[in-house]
Amino acid sequence: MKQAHLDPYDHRFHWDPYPQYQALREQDPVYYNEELGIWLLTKWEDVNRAFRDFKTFINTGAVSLEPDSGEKLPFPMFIFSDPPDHTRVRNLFAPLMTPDRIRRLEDYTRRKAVELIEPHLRGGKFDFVADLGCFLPMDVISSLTSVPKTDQDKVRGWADDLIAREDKQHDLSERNVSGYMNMATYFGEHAAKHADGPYGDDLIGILMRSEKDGVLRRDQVIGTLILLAIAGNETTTKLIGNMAYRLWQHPEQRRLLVEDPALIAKAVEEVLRFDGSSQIIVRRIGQDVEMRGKTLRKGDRVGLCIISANRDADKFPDPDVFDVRRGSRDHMAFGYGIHSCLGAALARMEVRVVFEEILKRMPDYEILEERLARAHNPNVRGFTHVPARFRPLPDA
Amino acid sequence: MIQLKYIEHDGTSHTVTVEEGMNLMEGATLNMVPGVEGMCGGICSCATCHCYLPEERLRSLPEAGSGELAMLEAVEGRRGNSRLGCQVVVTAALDGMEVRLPKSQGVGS
Repeated sequence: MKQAHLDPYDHRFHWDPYPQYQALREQDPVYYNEELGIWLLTKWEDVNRAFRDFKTFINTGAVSLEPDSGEKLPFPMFIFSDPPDHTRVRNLFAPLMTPDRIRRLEDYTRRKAVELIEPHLRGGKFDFVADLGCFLPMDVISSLTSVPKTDQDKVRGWADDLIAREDKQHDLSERNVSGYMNMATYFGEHAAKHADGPYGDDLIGILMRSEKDGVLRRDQVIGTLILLAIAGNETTTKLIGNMAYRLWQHPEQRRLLVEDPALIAKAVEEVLRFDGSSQIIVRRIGQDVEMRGKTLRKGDRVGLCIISANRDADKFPDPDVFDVRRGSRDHMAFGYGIHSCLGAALARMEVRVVFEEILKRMPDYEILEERLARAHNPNVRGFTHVPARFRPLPDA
Repeated sequence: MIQLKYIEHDGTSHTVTVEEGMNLMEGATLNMVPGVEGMCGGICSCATCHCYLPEERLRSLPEAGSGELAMLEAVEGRRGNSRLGCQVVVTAALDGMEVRLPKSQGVGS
């Protein structure tokens, strides 16, 4: 049998990584990629253990796949830290990100989604990512960070620069670093502008008040704003594309949602499990640990293959079946535990609202498969273009 | 640092110290206390940090908000003194408190 191998930078791999992940789960679930110098965990149980045991699997100096990203990207993001520092910073924002608070953004999100959809209804053509997915999450997160509409395209362009990877590009490129530095410069000015208040009840308000109170330094404020621009944007954008694609691939499932829109929230959970947009998240080993007969040494880097864990047959019955009524709660698309995605409720709300509005207006959309295009990044997985045709609205 | 005692449903107890300003879910998960999942990391969206607090302490705490009450609707074994740990901030007033944990946090497909 050919030995299972996996290069998370391989562009071909991004199109359908699931068979390779399955092979790894079956043949070598604690796999060491010599070329990249990284362990990859592919089973739900192992990934879950790594998420929970935060003393053995640490975030300081990890999270992204490139080992030198800490030096090249110097503004501290709390995702790259561990308790108790991590907990203190995270808790500043957590109250803002609960489902109850996020509900306040729902009307705004729906209005924006409709504004993005409506102009296309008479033409019968729509690109789920290029016409909607890439704008909506940036718009909503910007409403919390006070980034004006006129700057949003610019910030999104830099975020795209930061995450873009050429085929098998294993190191950060000049484009990646300059995207990051452009964001750092922009958010440096942005922070200076808001430093003296007024401190509103939103993310920028909390950030700047925390700085004034001596809880955060300016470089942490800038790092957090960059993190929000990436995390609040790229992953949800990609999830919208993945959901559009999977519902098209499974018309009988899509029909269930058209007939009963109350199921859409559950369908979002199934897309998160079946085809989540966050592929791998990295940890560093804090103390030697044995896993399935292998020893991971202190300082080693280890990739938690979330989208593989979520297809593990030992956890989910018929894992490769897309079932919008499945309702599994413990998929790890947003991670698990203390580092779990702070924006999870926001992402869930955004994607649900988008498909509530989409399925009302174009329940019969057909994706033009040959024109699908992908973003290539080892962490974030999804499309840049998901063009579709649908029955146009008749002229009035 | 505040001392808290988490008691699992079978009586196993864990005495830990927790920094003020953290919450009861973090008090458990940062000390690897079994019986608290804290799946969503404290954004009040998974109800897997369900716990029971002593009545006299409960009265001194800020009341549960609407989001927490809505999540509590879904937990198994809800009682009058049920709270979600992630919504209870640890203060000096809680020093020495016993936090009882339910049999299950209801995780699992």
